Amino acid sequence: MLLDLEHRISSHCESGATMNMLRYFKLDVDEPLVFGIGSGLYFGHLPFIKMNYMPVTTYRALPGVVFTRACKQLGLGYEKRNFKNPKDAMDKLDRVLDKGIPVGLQVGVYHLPYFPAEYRMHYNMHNIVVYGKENGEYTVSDSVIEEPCKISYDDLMKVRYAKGIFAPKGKMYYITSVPEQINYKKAIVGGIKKTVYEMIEIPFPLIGVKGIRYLSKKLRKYPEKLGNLKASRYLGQLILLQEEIGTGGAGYRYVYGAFLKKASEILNLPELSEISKEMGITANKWREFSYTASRNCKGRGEQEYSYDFLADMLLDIADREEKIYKKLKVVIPKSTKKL
Amino acid sequence: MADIGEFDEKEGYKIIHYSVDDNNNYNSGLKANWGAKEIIVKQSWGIVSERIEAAKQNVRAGKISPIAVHMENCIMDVSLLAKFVELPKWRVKRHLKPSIYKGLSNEIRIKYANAFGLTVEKLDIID
Repeated sequence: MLLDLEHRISSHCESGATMNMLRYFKLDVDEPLVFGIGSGLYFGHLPFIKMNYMPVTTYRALPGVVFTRACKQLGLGYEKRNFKNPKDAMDKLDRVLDKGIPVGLQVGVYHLPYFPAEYRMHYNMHNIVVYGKENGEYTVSDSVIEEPCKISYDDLMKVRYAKGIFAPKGKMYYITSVPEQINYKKAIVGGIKKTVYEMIEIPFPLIGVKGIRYLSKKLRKYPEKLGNLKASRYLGQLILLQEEIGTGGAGYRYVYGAFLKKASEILNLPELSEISKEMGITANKWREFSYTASRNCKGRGEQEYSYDFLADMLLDIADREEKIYKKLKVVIPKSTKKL
Repeated sequence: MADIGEFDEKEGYKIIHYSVDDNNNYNSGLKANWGAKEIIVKQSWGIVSERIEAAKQNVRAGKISPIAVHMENCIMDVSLLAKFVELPKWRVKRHLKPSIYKGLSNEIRIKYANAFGLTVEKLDIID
């Protein structure tokens, strides 16, 4: 059995998985739209969470929220659950597939047989869509791989029960109902509001624009606290998470800019197009930062650029982003009732 | 800076990258590189192989058991390995001592071998 799902690739796995499922139900969405409606944009510098023995910086919301938020904003019904018993998890997957519904799964990357070697880490926040089963093999749409992939029953069970931080525990999610009329305008405004709240209004110093400033402060002290070599490694991981792990570049800022541009067309708000331009400039600033900072990551980590210089770049980015979200707050309609 | 075309001829795994031009037009496409990928990926894997090498030296010096090498090979740390073998962390830490490792039961050795994707005989071999 193979469902008629079109495999489209994307930069962010969860937005891509959600997009492919929505498109299966005839919603005309692309990756930026899903990412924006699902309020995927975020920033958090979390030195107490370690990956590879180094602090973690995140540019997007927690795994799983893009799908749920997008469904809620668009008024779709969905189901999402974990399973204690791997056998139950696989049985339920088969049953939902038989009903003709593609199923999203959270999986670990390390044991995915088709995954490129250079990205094989114990990273458990990857998302795929299962949409077929033939001869005990599942057909999988992995939005960061060009072609649809096949995976055996045993391998799929293994990656669904990968171990470590954010272990998927067999998590599966799928769409159960679609309303006749979908109000994209309302969904977009709702999605932007949530992002604005998360980026400038959460009263916690490590999150949002405040988080960028906090990172800048930390970064400034890296070389004296850690020495050049370790400082350059912390910096390297920052760039890795910003550019390499399926962000579309510049920690999702390009994707969000593209979303804002699309939103200005759908909502017929020319001001949003202006803001999207500023988002594009900010994204380029992020890219410039990672490009410049990467010069410090060669060899023994000699400072080609001083950490003060890099920290100032981040402060400039934080100021730019703050302006963007403040403008967004003014521009988008307060009430969604009339949309 | 938005132009990332120059690295495109390089072979390798490609991911979708977005970019924006001066007229606020967004594009996306498969690219192998955004400008400095090699430096960053090389550095990141360099750290892993450095740790593997350090573990090997410690095994040869008799300071640590071969489990440490396999653990680094599989990019794990003690807490992750403990989840894979379903043992408490303090026991995994104990098993990293060469003296304790020598006396491990076959049952436990199988657990470790499975976690690393090795046969039990290969558990003692580090090269």
